[in-house]
Amino acid sequence: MLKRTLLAAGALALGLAGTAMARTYVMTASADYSGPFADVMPDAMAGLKATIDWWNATVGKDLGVDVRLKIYDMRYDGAVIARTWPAILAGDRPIMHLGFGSPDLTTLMGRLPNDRVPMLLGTAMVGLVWKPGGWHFSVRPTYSHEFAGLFAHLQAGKGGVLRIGAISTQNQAGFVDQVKGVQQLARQYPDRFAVVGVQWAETAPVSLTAQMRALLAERPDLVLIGGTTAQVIAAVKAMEELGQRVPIVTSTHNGLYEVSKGIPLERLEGAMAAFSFSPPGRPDLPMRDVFESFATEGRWGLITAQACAQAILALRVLERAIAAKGADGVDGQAMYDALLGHQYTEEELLGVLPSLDYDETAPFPVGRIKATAEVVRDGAITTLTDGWFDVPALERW
Amino acid sequence: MTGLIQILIEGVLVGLVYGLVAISFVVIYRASRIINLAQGEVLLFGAYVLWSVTEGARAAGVGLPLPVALGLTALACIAFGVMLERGIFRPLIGQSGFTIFMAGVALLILLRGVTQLLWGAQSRTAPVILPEGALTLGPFLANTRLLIGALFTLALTAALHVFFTRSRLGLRLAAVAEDHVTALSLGVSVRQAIAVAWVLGTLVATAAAVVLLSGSILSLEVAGIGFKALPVALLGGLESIRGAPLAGVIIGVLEALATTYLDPITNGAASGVLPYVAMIAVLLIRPYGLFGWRRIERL
Repeated sequence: MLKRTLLAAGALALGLAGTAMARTYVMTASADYSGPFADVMPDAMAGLKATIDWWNATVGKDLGVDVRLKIYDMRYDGAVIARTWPAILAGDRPIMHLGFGSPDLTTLMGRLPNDRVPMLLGTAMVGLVWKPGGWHFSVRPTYSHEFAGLFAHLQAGKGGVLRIGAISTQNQAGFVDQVKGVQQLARQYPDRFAVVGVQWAETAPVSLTAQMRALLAERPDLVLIGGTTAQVIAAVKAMEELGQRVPIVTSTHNGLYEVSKGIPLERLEGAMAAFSFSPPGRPDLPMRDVFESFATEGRWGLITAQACAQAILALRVLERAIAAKGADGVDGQAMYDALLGHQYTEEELLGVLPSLDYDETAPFPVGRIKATAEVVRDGAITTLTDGWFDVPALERW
Repeated sequence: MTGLIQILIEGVLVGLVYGLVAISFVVIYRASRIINLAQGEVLLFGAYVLWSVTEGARAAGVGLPLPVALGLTALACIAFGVMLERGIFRPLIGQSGFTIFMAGVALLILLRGVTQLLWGAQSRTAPVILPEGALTLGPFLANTRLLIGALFTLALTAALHVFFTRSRLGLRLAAVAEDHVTALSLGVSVRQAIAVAWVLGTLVATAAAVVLLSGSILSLEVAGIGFKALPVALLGGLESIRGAPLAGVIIGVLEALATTYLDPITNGAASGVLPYVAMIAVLLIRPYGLFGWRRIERL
């Protein structure tokens, strides 16, 4: 009996020692379970969890490092973020924060350099915060860069000048910024792009017929609607009323999956969504295999792919930080240095992101920025092309 | 000229939707002298109830015929209106306008929380109740959904006007709107009047939700329509049933004209601002609105 007890105690001690030997770092994440993104949040957080679980079980195990993910429901609300962040700093001492959307950005970007905690977002950037020296970054460039990549692809196929119409809203600065970035594209490349009209509307408009009529009079090749899902649905209905159909270009938050909840895909034929991480439907995507092997909840989809992209870059940065500082020496500064000090290839990012490079001039990838897109064809959402589009270089706007 | 008339048609149709929501403010104020700041949330609640008995029920494998679903929604809204009156506003009978105003603020916050608690924050597909597409009238187009909504608004306005000016119950409600204490002293049941007001206000708000959201996306943001319609009610006059749709038309037409002619040179700012500049201008001359009673209260 005594022998058995001693053996059990020994096994327990060994187990505890093994656990103690792994250095644990905390990454915190902003979620929105009770705000506008509540419906997609379980899948997004499942993507973060699965990627981190995979890393802990494979790479982290070999490095003697364990990453603990702590998720906070920030409700997509700057006030909640502002009052929660000090407790996160004091209690969790995160080496990196995985942010979500503009509220995180606007609330935290000013203080992050002093807090010495870099923030990595999965949502696209906006030109409003395109300033040097920040500690806020995104795996994606600005919305305007993503649209520019798709527009460049479409223009190359069409030839001549691509005529772009836009519907947006003045109610949110980020949506105005999308349009300004595309106008900058047209200014820089007047022989390739022209913004032929911009119509401003409510985020949840009663009708967009008047705006759409004015816009269609300018004969656009496509209509950019980067704002809300309700705007896209209203625009489709307005075009149907007017008896015309021009392809609509959306982003991810108001993209094809979201819009198809309110209107059948058959009525969205030709509509596109531009973004800069891998479309979830891309075949032979290693990241998808990781998710499906390690996910205990959630479904693979657009928001899941975005979250996996965010997590895998954060973890690859951690690997570089460990290589530089050792398994016990990683902190926020080490993560910041590692993010800016290395290039990250598409292969090591498991195909879910193109190769990325960061420097301190911008809060998003620099150099050869890539984008991709999905399109509705024959009543189904599919990838527009197999690879990435090159995004034309844009000056700050 | 054709273009201008088309713009005016669209402005009138959209404006009458604003007017419909504004009527729900007026009905409550007219009968109870309460400006319900939470009217957008009341509309939202009605919309979620409607979703539950249509799309929600269908998802649960219990598809209900549309008339039954609409009937159930109406019953739920009546119960909801009575609950609001019993739980919040009946205890405030005889209290100052400021107290009632603050109760409205509290109700707004409460309803947002309760709606989120019951249905979550997810955006949902609103059921298609009204036909989609457009009606061709010669060279002009009229959105079918909005056209039906506009006709409904006009019919409802006429019916409510007759109710408030010709029926015994409607006249009692007007007496309550004059002053709770005086109405009580005249033997008018303030409790009954306020209960009727809330039931009517909730039903009208839910009808507005049908017109506004048919075949679109239902989310918590929809409640914002309340703050869009409140200035319309103020412009028309808070006691005037017929003033609400007229003010809605004024706001809708100004918005449509500004969208077409001024937005391109103001970067989209004009359509958001001009209707309310006009509203403030009117209120400076007629502080009680276009057709309101000549009584001014400062809260």
